[in-house]
Amino acid sequence: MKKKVLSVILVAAMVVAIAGCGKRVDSSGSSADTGSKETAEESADIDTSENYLKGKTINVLLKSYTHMFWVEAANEAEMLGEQYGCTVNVLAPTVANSNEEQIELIENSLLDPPDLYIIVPADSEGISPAITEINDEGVPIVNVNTKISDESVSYDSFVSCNQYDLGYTTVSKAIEKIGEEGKAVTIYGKPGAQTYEERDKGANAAFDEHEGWELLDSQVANGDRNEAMDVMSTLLTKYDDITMVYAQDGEMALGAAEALKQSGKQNDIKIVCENSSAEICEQISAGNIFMTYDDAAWSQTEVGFKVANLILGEQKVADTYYSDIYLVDSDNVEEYAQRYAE
Amino acid sequence: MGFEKNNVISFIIKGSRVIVLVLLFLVFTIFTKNFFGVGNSSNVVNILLQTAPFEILLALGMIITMITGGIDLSIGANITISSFMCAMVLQYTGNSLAGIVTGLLVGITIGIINGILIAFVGLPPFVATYSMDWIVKGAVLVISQGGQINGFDKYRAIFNTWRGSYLLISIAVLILAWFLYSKTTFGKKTYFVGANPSAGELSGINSKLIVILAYAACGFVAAVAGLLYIAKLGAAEPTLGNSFTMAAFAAALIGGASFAGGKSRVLGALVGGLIIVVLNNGLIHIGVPGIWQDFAQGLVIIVAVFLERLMEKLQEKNKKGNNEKSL
Repeated sequence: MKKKVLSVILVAAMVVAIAGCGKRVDSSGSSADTGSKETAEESADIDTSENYLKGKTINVLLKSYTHMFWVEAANEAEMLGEQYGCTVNVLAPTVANSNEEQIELIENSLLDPPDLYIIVPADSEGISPAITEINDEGVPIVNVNTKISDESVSYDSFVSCNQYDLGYTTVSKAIEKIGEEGKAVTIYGKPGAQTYEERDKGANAAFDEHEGWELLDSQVANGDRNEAMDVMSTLLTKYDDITMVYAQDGEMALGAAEALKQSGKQNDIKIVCENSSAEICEQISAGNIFMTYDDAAWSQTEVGFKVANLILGEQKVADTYYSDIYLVDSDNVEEYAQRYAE
Repeated sequence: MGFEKNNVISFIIKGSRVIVLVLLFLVFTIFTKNFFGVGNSSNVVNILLQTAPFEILLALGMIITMITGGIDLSIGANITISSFMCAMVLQYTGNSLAGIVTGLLVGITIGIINGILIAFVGLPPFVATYSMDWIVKGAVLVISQGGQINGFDKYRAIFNTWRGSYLLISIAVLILAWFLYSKTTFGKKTYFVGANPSAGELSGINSKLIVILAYAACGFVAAVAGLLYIAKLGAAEPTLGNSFTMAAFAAALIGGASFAGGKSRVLGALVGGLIIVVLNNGLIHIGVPGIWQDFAQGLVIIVAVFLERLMEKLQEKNKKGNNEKSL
C-alpha cells in the first residue's frame, strides 16, 4: 500500500514538474530596436491598425523553456499578450525539444481550446499527430521558426527568419570583415534538425563562394555549451591554423570561446555565430566573440502575433513571412546589449 | 600447459578494457597527425585534464549504484541541480565555500532520497531514480525560470588556476571510493548485499542502510561533477546534465560494470571514462564526420560489451574444463 501511495505521489510530482512549464502569463516588457537590419525576404511590415486579438486566448508552444532563445521568445509573448490585451499561455516541454511532450501539451490544451495556436515544433514531422487534432478542432495555427513539413496537415502561415540566408549572411559578413583568405571550422548544432541543416547549407554556400577560404572540419556539439567546449578543444589540437569558428548558435559559441580562452588563442581565432543574449553581448564586448547575427526570437514572436492578429480578423495572410536578423559586433554591441539588459 | 593457457585467458579478461584503451590510443596515434606524438602531447594532456575527469566521475557515480544491483537515472539531473544551487549561492553571497557546501548537500540529499525510495519503500531503482530525474529537472526549471547564472570568477579561480585541478579532484574521489568499496568491511558488505540482498539481510547486514549510502555516495559524486562543471564552463545552466545520464551509463558499461549486483568494480570508472574520451577525441582527429560520431560510439560500446561477455563465457568454460580434469 505504501508503495502505491508513494508511486502516486511521485507521478503527481512529475505532473506538477511538467505543468510548471506551461504557465499562464501576465507581464510586461519593452523593446529597443537597435542593431543593423539585414534581410527581410518577404516584408513583415503587417498592418496592425485593428486589434483583433483583444479578449482572445493564444497558446504559444515553444521548443523548450531552458534555452535562452526560447526564454526570450516566451518573454516577448508575455509582453505582446499585455499589449494586445489577450490571454497568452506559454507552453514548453520540460525536456528540451521533446516532440512527445509537445504533442501531450497540445492534446491537454485542446480540452479547452484557445482561439489560435502559435507553434514552434521541435520536430518538423513528428508534431503532425497534434497538428491533425488541432485541424480537427478548427483552431487556426501560426507556425513559427521551424516549418511543419507534413503536407497532410495544415497551418495558416509560417513565420521565421530564412535559416539558409542566416547561415549565408553570417559567414559572408564574417569573411568581408576578416579578409578573403582563411581556414574555418563549423560547430554544428543537432544533426537532423531542419534549422541547423539550413544554416549549414547557407554557410557552406558562402564558404564555396570564396576560393581563399577552406572549411577544415565540421563537428557536432548538439547546441550544448559543454560539448562545444570539448569539441573546440579537440579541434584546436587537430589544426593549428584555424582563422574562424562558425558556431551555429550562441550557446555553442560560448563553449568555443571558453576553449579558446583556456588555450590562449582568443586573439588569433575569430568566433562568429547566430543568436544573441546578454552573455553573448558581454563576450562580444570583451572581444571573445567576433560577431553574431541575431535571428531574434522576439522579432519572430512579434511577427507571429501580427499574423495571428490578421488571421483572427479574417484578413488575408501570406504563406510565409520572414522576420529580420540583426548584426551584432563590436561597433553596436553596447547599444544592442540594452535589449537583453531589460 | 593448461595452467598457462588459463593464466593468459585470465590476464586478457582482467585487462581487456585496458587493452582496448591501449589499442585505441595506438590506432589514433598511428593514423592521425596530432592525436599524440613525441613533442606533441598537448591533445592527450588536454583530454586528461579537461575531459576525462568528468567522464570518470560520471562513470563512478553510476558504478557505485550498480554494485548494489541498482542504477541511478537521476545522475544527470542531480549534476544540474547541485551545480545550479551552488551557482545561486555564489551569486547571492559571493562565498565559494558556501556554494560548494550547498552543492554537495543538495547532491547527497537527492541521493539519500533515492536510496530511501528504493530501500524502504521498495520501489525498483529504475522507477525511483527515473521519477527523481523528472522531479529534479522540473525543480531546476522552476528555480531557474529557464535562465542561466554566470560570472562567478572568484569561484572559478579556485579550480582553474592550476590546470590539473579537475583531474586531481576526480582521481581523489575515485581513490576514496576504491578504498571504501575494496578495502573496508563496509565495501565487502555492499558487494555481498548487491550479489544477494536476502542473504545479506539474513546474515545481519543492514542492507537498507547499505543501499541508501550507495545512492548518497552517487549523489556526492554527481555534486562534485556539477561543481567542477560550472567552474569549467563559467555558467550554470538548467540543461547542463541532460545528456549525462546516458554518458555515465555508457562509460560504466565500457568500464565493465554489470547489471548483476556485486560484480562492478570501482576502478572500471577510470578505464571506462578514459575509453570514452579517447574515442570521442580520436574520432575527430581521424576525420570521422560529426554526424557519424554517435553511430561510431554506439557501435564501439556494443562491441566492447559483447567481447567482454564472450571472454567471460570462455573463462567459465575453461574453469569448468579444468575442474572436470582435476576430478
